[in-house]
Amino acid sequence: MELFAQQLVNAISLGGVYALLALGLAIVFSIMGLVNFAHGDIMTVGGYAMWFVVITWGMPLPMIAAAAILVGLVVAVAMERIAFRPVRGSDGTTMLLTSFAVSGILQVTFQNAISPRPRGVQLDPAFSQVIRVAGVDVGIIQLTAIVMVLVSLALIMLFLRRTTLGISMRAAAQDFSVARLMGIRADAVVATAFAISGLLAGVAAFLWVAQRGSVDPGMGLTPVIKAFIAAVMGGLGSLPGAVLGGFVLGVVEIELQAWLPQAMLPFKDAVALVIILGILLWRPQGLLGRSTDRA
Amino acid sequence: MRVPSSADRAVEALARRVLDPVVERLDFDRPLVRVLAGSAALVGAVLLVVVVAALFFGPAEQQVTLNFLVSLIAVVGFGIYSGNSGILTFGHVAFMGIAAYASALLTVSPAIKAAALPNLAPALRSIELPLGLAIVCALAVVAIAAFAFGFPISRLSAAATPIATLAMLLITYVVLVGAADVTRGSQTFYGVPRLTDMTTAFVFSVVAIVVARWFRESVPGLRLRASREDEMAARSMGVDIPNLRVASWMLSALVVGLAGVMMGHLLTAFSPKQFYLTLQFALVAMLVVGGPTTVTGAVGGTFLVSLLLEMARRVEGLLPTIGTDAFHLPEIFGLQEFTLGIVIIAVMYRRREGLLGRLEIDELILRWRRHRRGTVSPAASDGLAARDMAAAREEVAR
Repeated sequence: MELFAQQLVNAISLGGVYALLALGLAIVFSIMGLVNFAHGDIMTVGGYAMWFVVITWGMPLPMIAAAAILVGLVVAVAMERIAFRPVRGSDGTTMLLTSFAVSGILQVTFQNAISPRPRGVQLDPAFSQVIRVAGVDVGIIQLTAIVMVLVSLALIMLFLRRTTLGISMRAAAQDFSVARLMGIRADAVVATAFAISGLLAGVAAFLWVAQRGSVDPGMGLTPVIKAFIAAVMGGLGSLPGAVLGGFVLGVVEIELQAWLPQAMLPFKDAVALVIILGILLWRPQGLLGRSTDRA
Repeated sequence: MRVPSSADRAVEALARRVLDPVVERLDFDRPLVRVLAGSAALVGAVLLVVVVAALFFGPAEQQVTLNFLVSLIAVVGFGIYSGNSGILTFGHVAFMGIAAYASALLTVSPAIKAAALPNLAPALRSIELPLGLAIVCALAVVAIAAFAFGFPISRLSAAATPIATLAMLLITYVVLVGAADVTRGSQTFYGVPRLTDMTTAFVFSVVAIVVARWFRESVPGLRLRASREDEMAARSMGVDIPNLRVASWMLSALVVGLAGVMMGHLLTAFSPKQFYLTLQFALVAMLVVGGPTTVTGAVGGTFLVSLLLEMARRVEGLLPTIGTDAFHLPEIFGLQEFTLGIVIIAVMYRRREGLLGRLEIDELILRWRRHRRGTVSPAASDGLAARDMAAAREEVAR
């Protein structure tokens, strides 16, 4: 029972990060059909913002988190305005390639402007302590992760269900052209989608860097590839599907960590992805995807 | 009206002497003729590059040319899948890695293997095959891997597929690094015999071009291209899209695997990192810049981007040497990746189908001749593309 609870905590805190990233990707995809390869670089910029804030001002934790989130949001909106607006409305391949190129350019920029090597981010040591809750060892970072993930998801859900802009975003996600015919402004909806995805990437960056303690130019790549896969597994374009996919991937990875024999541990990531390809073989449209997908 | 220069007249005379009799005798409505004529034109262009490099340039440029030929095989291979199905792949470099390691394992001398890979299975340790056999075995391994990945991936939607191919690359990378007993993990795998020279690389480029062009004009290729233009319409006419995607995926993986074998025997020492995102990024750029839908585009894009990358590499090396003691230009990392990014964005903003993505080279030449001789009005020769579409529809209906 304790083992199970322990693993549940681990799975939620890891899967939560994937869920945040996958949700950000899914929001942008469902509205403009862009598979944003540069999403990971938004996360990297968030990480560098934390590093900058820590070494220049040594601010308290909430301020560091706020910096990561704010910078993520601004970078995402700027990215849409500068790089993606010229290709808006074109086919998915064009947009995907553009984001691919943007990602490459950003990574080279980080290498030259900051450093190709990792930069350490020293957070308050109290933050990495472990406390016992009901017989389960829980790291404060993990606890923060769970709280932040749940709060972010709840806020996004409230926004999408209760506000006019949120409802118009859901409408646009269902059918962008019809939503525009109903008088919804395309620019506002797309900008908001990027703002939300950047905000979520900022939260993810804070949690990721807090656990790893460093940031490097290619940091965002691996978590974002996994988040992509999570979004595909959940059903690309389905927002609840992306969140579900993120958590499923978290559970799979934590279980593999616990149960794989020692010799197989180097293959952990590969096994997790193979399992997900297996799930996709069973349900090609994803867990919560519609069977008649949009091209 | 422009006055024709002497160069214009020379070209015109040459075309009238050499090109016209050929064009007149060939029946371009037959797919086989188009395949052979188009391949011949492309092979001629590649041969020109190879001959110029071999005759007029030194070892450094010849190495660049070899890299170009290997990239060419890979990019043409990518195009067999991506160009005809319209779905980008970000994972086919995985097949290069698999093929390079498989072929290396089979050709490295047993003495080196004993030192480098002490935990290798005895059967593999004692084996030492010639290149031809090693290629066959490596491609067999690639075929198995390609089917294992391709079958589930071909069932996904067109938007989800590129991401799944990326996952495939990640899986392969993790396995190549993890299987240290066979691959030396992230350490360099060394002692691979250098079997790739101009002749082999050129011969396999020709194979890649002919295979790609043949598949493009074949009935399955035509059906797949129809599904690229309009998935719903193609499906409603009975085109079996998932299985066609698997077929082109397999063929494409085999050609890309061939490029992997060539690259392994060109590098002679490599690690899994060399078959990962950096290479994938460069090869995708080559395909996209030239135009993924035509073989001509794949060849032209590879040439252009290889040239740009080589220039970027030299500038990168040159920059820190410029300047005085007081002021040095700063060292720049990753100028090649930066160039690739800029080139892709420029093409996406300005000419999405790629520089040569509209017509194959034989179609271009044919159109130019008809246009010049005035036997066909320009409007009718513009109908060439329309005729292709009509042929595709007819073929699908059959």
